[in-house]
Amino acid sequence: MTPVLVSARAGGMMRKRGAVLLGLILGLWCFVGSGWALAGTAFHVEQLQVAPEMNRVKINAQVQITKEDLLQEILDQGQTLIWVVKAEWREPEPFSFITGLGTHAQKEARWQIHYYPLTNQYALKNASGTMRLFNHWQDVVSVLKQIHDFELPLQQGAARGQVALRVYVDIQALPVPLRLRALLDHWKLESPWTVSALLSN
Amino acid sequence: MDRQRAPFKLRNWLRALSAGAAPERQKVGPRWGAILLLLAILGFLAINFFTSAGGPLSRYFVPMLVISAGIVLFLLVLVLVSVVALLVRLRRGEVGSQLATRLVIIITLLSFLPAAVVFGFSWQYLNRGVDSWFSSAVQSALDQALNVAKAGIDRYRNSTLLAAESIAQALVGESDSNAILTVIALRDQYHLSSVTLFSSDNRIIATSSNNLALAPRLPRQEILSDEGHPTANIEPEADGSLLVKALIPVLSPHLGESNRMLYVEQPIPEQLTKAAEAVQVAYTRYHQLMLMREPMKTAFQLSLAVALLLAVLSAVWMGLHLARRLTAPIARLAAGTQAVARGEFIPLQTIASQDELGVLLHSFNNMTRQLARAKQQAAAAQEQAEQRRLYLETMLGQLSSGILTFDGEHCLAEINAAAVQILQEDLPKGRALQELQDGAILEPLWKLVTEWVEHPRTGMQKELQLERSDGPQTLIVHGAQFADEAGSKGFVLVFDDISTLVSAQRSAAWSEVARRLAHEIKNPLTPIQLSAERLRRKYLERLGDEGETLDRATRTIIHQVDALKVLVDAFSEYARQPQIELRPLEINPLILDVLDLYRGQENGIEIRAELAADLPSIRADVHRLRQILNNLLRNAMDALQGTEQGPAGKHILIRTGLTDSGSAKMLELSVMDDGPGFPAELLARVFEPYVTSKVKGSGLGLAIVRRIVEEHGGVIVADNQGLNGGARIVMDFPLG
Repeated sequence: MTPVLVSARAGGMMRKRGAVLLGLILGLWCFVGSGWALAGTAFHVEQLQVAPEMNRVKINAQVQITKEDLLQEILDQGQTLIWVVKAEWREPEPFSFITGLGTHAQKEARWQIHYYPLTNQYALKNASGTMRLFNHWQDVVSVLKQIHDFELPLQQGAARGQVALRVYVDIQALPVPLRLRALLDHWKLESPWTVSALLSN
Repeated sequence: MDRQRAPFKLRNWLRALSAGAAPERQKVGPRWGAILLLLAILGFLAINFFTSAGGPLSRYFVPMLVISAGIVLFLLVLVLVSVVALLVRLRRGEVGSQLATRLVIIITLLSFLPAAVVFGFSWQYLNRGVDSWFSSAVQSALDQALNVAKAGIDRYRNSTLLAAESIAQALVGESDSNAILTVIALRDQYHLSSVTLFSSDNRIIATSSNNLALAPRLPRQEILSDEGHPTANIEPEADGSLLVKALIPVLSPHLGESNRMLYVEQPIPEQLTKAAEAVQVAYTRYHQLMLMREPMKTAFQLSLAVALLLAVLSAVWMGLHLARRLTAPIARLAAGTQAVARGEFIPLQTIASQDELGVLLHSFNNMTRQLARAKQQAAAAQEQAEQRRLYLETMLGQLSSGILTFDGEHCLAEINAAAVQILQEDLPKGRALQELQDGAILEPLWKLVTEWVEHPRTGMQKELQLERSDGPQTLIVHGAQFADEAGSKGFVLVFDDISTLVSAQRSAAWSEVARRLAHEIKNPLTPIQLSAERLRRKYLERLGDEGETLDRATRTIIHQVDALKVLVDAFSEYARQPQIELRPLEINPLILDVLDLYRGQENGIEIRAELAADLPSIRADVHRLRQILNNLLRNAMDALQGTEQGPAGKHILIRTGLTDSGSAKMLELSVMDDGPGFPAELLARVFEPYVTSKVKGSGLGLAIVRRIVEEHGGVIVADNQGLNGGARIVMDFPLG
């Protein structure tokens, strides 16, 4: 081994190391990604009905909730959940497949769901503070499953577009340990975007 | 050394990060990269700490944790690749790899063990600490407290329900107008906050409330769905108070008439509400903690693990890097020693540090330079010695003296070409002196040498004679001793063939004798002859018949004087200084001319000439050559006349031609006969003066012939290879 080590052999070693490095990273990424992908979402928006009106769109839909017991357990343990319904108006544009591009209007509605152990009641409170109390969890679930007359305001002169709707529980509002648990246990308390057919406004 | 910085390359940076193998000039890039990486690790550790502690940064905890995990993963891969590279180097047996491995293991253990201990203790402490927050006793206490609170508020619920039922009972059958008063009165009686009577179509029939400013409220839809059954619920209000809300159907006494509904609201006392709320809050918080118990532990453990891994992997990676950098000079040194062993004296690339390694490299380079210088000097000296050896060899090869060298064990070490030529024998090198003594001819030489070696003196100089088939060979031998490389005594023999010198000396001596004799004898011969002739003239006639004696005597004197004169002339001829006149000469015509003189003699001897055509001329003295031919023909005739004629007759043959003497072509002249040949005992000395087989010969004829041939630069040889074994004289003359 001479002081001068730069040689074809050293270059080959570097390429091998690079390949090993890349392979390990990709492998781990696939492992994590596949694990994440295998865990299905807890909610699904179905029967999306969209009625365009003057500068707004009225949205009705049903939400299928598969992890009711999990939600109830969290609520019964005293943790407040934030239920979010989010709608977007997306117009077809080049590169609109990139998230964020083509979205010209969006609206988000948030509800707090809380359980009062003293009165054994579930409270559903909207952003304005209006609270609805339910004696039974299923009553809450029934309300959550229905999205009725959700209005999405549009910009004046909005052309053809689609309505996209999703629902989710805001994990960021949870305490840090629960956020971690949500990440590690693949809670996936969210629904994928459900997109309507192309509409002309 | 080139100090210009090479452009930064990601590949080189990664290589430097993974194995620390970047050349010195690129160390700036990886060094900064390493510093930045370490700072990033520290930054992430700090951010993880702050984000996990809660507050506004807590929302970044999970992303920070994920990024930290990514960094850990990146570090892990770097370390794995570096470890694999180190193992490969170790397997290949590269110098410095064992030391680097040991260093890495030590650093890994030193960093991992304390961190693992701290991690273990922290883990245990955390687990126990978190677990200590929870106990069944606390759980039970909280449950019971909640139950007590529930019981407390349930009591108010029940009492409100009873009151509402009583009021509903009182309102059965009452008209709407009367119901107002009843409602007011009974609300006051039962100390209720609000009582409202409404119809099935949600028309308020009667209402009474503590706070008339508030509009009467109807029960929420969920309670109304339970109509038909008295229900009383405790509901929290937006302001945090608890309200008992009772809904009692007021049965209508009339068939077909729908029931009216009595709705009563009664707040629970603030004190109880606060107490119950406090219990509820405590209960809720406890259960929140319960919910977060394991996740909290996991979060702490993850943070700890990430911190531990970051610390350990960073330490290992730095250890790998450090080990590589520390062992690089050693590896360089080892490579340098191997190069020196191969004979390559290349100075190593030094390092900037002044520590022991730097001093070692510097010293090694100095040593290498000195070795290179010494090698150059040794090579120059060797070349000089080689040139000197070649010079000596050439000189020895060109010397006319023979040289034999014997080593300390008296084995022949060297023999030059002249020695082979003189001794007429190629002695094998390496043979011992005793083994060389197996020939009779060289016996005198080996005897002399052996005697000298056994009784060594300072030097040896001796003249000896070797008996060869063509005559004696006189050698003068010098011997000297020397000490060889091993210190033992060897010796060298230097000898010269002085046979020719001796012969020339003898010939010169005879010439001088002949000259003096001729001079001393010739002078008195003429007076003697004249005196004898005078005596004859004066007294021979006077004495008449008595003059016979005088006649015989004087005749004898005159004849003998004539014979002496001939002999003296021959001596004078032999002793004569050479005054030769060389001119280009065609020998064939000369021979024919000489032969003409001998033709016609009726002596029964046939003289033939075989003369080669187109012979080149030679530079010769025509008179001398004529004398040669006359002497040789006379000798041949004398030899043939003394013999009996054979059946084929007596013959003399003269032959000319070209011959190759090795270095140049020569003109060969040979005279041969079929006579008896030279006597064997005289053959070696036949060219010496006064050597003759004839009774009346002077013995100078062949000596004169030889001298004439030598005057012409030629060579003469006598043998008995003439016609039918007769005598033959062969002379070679150089061409003109």
